[in-house]
Amino acid sequence: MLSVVVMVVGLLPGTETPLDDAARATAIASTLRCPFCQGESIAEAPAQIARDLEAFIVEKVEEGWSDDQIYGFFEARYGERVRLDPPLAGWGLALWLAPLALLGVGVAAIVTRRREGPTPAPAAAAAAKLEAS
Amino acid sequence: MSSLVGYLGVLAAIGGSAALGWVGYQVSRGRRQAAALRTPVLFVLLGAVAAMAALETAILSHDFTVAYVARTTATTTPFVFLLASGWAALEGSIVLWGLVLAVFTFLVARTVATGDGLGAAALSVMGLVGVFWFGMMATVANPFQVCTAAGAVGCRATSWWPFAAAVAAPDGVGPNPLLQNHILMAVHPPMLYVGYVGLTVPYAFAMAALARGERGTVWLERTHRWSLVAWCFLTCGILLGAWWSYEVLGWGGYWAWDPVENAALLPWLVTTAFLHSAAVQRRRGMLQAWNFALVIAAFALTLLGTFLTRSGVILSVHSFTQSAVGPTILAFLGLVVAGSLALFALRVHVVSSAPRLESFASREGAFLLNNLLLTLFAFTVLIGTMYPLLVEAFTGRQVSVGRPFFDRVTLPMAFALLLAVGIGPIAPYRIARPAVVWTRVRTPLRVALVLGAGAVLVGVRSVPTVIVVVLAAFVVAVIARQLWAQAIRQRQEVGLGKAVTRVLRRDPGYWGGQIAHIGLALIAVAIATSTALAVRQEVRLAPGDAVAVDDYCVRYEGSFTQQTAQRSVEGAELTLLRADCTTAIRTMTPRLNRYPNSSQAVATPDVRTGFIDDVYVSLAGGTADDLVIDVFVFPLMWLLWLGGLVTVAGGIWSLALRRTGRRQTGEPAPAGVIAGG
Repeated sequence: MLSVVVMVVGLLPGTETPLDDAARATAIASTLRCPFCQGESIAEAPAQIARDLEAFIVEKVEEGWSDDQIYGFFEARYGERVRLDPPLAGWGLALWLAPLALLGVGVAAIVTRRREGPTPAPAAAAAAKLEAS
Repeated sequence: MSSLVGYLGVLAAIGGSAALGWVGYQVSRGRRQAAALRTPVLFVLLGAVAAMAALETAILSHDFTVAYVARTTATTTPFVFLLASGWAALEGSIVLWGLVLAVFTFLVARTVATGDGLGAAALSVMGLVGVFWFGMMATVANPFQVCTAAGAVGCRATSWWPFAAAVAAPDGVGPNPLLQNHILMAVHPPMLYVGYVGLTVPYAFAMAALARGERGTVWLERTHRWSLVAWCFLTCGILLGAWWSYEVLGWGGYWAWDPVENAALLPWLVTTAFLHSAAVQRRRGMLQAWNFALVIAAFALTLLGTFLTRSGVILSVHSFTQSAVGPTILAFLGLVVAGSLALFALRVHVVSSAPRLESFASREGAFLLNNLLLTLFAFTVLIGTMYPLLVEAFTGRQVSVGRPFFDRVTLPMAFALLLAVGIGPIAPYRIARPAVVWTRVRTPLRVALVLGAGAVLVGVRSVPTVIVVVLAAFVVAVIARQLWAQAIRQRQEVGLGKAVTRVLRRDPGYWGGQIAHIGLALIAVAIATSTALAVRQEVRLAPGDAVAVDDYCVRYEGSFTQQTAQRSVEGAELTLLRADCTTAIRTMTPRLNRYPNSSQAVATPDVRTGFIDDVYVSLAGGTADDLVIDVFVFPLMWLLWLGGLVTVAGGIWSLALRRTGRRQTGEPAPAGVIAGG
């Protein structure tokens, strides 16, 4: 029990600090695709263009641009594909919700199958097999 | 000459596979003896061997009349990469696939005797699958195309007709730079292919069982070892891929949720679910419908994976080819999925007659939950990978789905899985009384919470990391406690060490799984620490400068260049020092490898692996006098690789000692079946 208290006390403050500029820039850079690389994010790609774009993002964050403004800038220049996060609207929303939907369907299917009642009793051979195992 | 021999080999393999499809069917219906299978199988095997041998001969002798050789190798390519070129590029990889399939077909055929209808039918299915792969080799993915017009380097025109007038290119283009940068590239694909192709065997037996309307668990018993072996190789292949990405690719990570990485992960997830689910069916006769569905899904996903990787439909770090192969694989995938599901729908009511789940709180319930979670995980990765493709196909818009989506959505599933891994294996069968479970879980839970608190005290402030530490510690502690509890019963007779070994040997399937679970827990911790606690810093240095990064200090000594026949290297020599900037640890040499056939250089990092953390340095740009490097510090990175090894070791343990196979069904084993297999 003491352990739980220690953990809660230790972790609670950590979850409330707002992101500073550098962290915000990195967060934005890791959700934007590097346009001329091979699929990595701006934060991850080992290419000069990625470094330049990252510096650009840092600059804009320091100038006071909001997240949406920066994303909007990149989308306008490089297209929708530069966002690594599917949007929270339209088909993108469907994508985010799909796992939850499948979980719901799966649980429902399992529970309703069980409620349908037992199948015919297993043959004697199967019962014997169960004893032997 | 090699072209001709190779092409004839492919044709022989097609003929053999088609014949096998037919003869297998005949044998399974009792109309012919099993000996009739021998010839088709031999044709398939020898044809596949001839194709691979011819290809490698052409490569190793620099026969640039073969278009594939001219496209993927050069006279300056080192021997190992020459050898690896046999499977590193598109057509060659399919030749390797065919060879592995042929060998497995041969091995399965050896277990089929007259009267073994199931085995013969399974061989028939494998033959039909072989027709597809060897058929591809003969048509859209032909490695033996002849060079009919040469360019300065490589071929300008090719012909599939083996007797066309062959012109030898003056030199080859050479392998893709990423493929000749590190020795691991030679090993990673074959490992994965053995895993992929290995899944064909349980699939074939499942189809055979469905088609014949056979009840029981025979098909599972006979293919259990195959599934385990395939799983072990898949796990190895994925780990090697992650290690390659980390050591070679310079972006400071081991997993990018890249479509091709996902293509390997998907069959692995489903096969893991299948292995667990099959254990329940063998023991309790339940989850039969699940098992059919899972093995069909696993096989279909290997095809999907090949499609994603080899069709060029997704631009990623891996796929660099575009050809007619894509639509062909897609068509076959569609056929397999439609056909298998149709057969499944038609027959499943015949073959599944199982005792119902008595209680969700039981080992069976845990397995069912496991099935659900792993399937959910796979489904999520699948839709995330396919979403950009589908959107582009239907609307023309180009979108991306990357790490942010995958990480966020799979994290809760991973937590749930870890929890299930902890409790599931110690839950009693049929009904788990809470008191029983609590005694097995009480102490490990306390240990886990203490370790979690310890992590917080040591300075970890990331909530997900602490959760992972608690869950992983829980898993390991539960397993350790159970092993201990079973071993001390025998401690009086033999020593403790021997008692432990005895327990492990008594039920290798179970304990192999538990060992693998320990490996999984270690991997989970390593992923958490190396992600949440990693430090990354971009550093600018002039020669002689030293900069502090985390607990270390990096000093730039100077740059260097190197020229070999294969490539030209530009690198930086740095000294890694302790925080005081005076005690040297070692020299680090990150570099850029430039290959003659490509303008893009491959950034190769240098990694220093330590007990507490890894220091990872890669070149990020700048000039020799104004160097820009990325320095990463990854805590506990070695735990990832150790965890991977332990996971594979668990799989091998399940395999290696499984000599006393338990025959669970009433059907007499056919004479040809390997005992205990």
